[in-house]
Amino acid sequence: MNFTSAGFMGFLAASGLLYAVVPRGWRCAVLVAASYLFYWLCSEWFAVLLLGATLLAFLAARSKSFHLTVVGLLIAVLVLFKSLPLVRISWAIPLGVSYYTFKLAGYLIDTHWGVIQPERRLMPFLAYTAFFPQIVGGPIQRAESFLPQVERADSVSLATACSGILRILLGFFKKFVIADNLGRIVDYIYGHLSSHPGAPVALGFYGYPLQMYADFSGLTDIAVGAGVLFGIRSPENFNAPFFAASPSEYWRRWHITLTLWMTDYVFTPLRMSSRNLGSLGLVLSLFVNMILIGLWHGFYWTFALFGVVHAIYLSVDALTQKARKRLYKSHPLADRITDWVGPVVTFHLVAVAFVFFRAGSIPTVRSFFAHLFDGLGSFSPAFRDLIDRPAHFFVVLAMALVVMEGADALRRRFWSRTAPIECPRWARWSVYSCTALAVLLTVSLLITSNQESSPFLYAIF
Amino acid sequence: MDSATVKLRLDKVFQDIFDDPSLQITESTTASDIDAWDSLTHIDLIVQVEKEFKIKLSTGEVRGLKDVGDFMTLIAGKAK
Repeated sequence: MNFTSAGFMGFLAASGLLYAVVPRGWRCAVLVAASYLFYWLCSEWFAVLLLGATLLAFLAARSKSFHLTVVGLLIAVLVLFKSLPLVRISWAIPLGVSYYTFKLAGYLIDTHWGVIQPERRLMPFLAYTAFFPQIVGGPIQRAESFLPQVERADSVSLATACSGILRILLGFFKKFVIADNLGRIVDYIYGHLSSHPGAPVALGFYGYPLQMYADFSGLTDIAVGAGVLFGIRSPENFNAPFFAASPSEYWRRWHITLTLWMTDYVFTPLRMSSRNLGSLGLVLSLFVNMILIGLWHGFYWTFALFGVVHAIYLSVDALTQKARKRLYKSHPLADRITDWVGPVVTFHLVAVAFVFFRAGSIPTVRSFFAHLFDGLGSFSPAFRDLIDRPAHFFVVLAMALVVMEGADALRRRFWSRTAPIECPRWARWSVYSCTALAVLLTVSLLITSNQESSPFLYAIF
Repeated sequence: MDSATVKLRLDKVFQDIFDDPSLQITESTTASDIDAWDSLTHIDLIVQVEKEFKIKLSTGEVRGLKDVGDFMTLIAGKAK
């Protein structure tokens, strides 16, 4: 069930309404039932694997001697599934196996370290791993943050539900208007590298990071917005990553929950073990961490090189940090210039790494960089068939990008507010009515449109 | 070791690591309060604390720290 399908919206509406009307004591059970029904509809018998892994972790948490063994087993199963595409069995990968494995492994490691106590009640724990808004592509929420919320089973006000629905609609906008349209251009560019591209290859260079951001942050918007309908506040995954002034800041703003997970359970233990090796220990830890992040996406050389490229960036960033700080202290103008130049340079570094991510093979990476400045100045008939009226198309796309950034900026400002914004009743009901109309319009378009949206890029990892 | 002594010596460690002689920490200080305090400088901080107080910290203990107050409690319990 695609997150951007009318079927999913119907499922979400039905389960959200049921959650709202049942007594508080039943809400957790409703969440578990809805999540497992969703999983069954998407992945059928793999729901048994999800249930089995969850029960195993739930029981293992009670005995310290089993913690790390079960973590090892969970990771081994994940690695096994990640290896299947190498033997061309991609269809056998369970939905969300990465995301629920990370949740369970993190829970067991935190229990082992005494950071949290084992959860005593099974139903909230079942809800934690199977929570359907988060299972497709995250965010990877920690048990200590999720479990108290599902146990409280707070009622959801109309205002809160409305904010969740608006967040979901933002995700739809990012996916349909920006990601899917940029994707057509990027796919064309990468598919025509060896011949005359018929369009600037640089469009693929700049377009793919933006496509990836719109696609993945759109998925997160739908996940976070859907979670709100069940009284669950999920962690954010993005914080204006293309405004980061350095590679280390970029990774604090991009796929935040994965970065935090890897920092807590991979980087920090490695760094602690190698702390007496000084800078060498730091660089080794960065390389292992980033290569693992690359390989998590798939066991291909291009993903490993994606990790290596980012490890190089982060190593240079870390090793020169003190020298740069001294420079900025003695030259304030240099500091101010960096505020403007830093994000531009960082975006280009990230875009270079994304070529490795997107290319799929080393020859394609070589070909892309060899042809990077080709195709400037004109569009071929084949490209014009792809996007009718290119000038009009790019203007609308640019406006959509501005709307996306504006909406994200508003979201960062107001989303974390716990107190409702004081508005007169007519203003509140105007927002509710407009939201309802927007939902009806979206569902109508989904049902009547002949074009299906492509799957979310991060749903396959 | 009493908390006042821990605080005094920890202040100096923070000032050295973040290169800011005016930096003053409190029990409620967290990483989000200090600009340069990230996962990279965090370990530098741990190494310096271990040297200053002649203690050894485990990964689990480091992972469980929520703020400087937790850090001071941990150090006071381990340092002689």
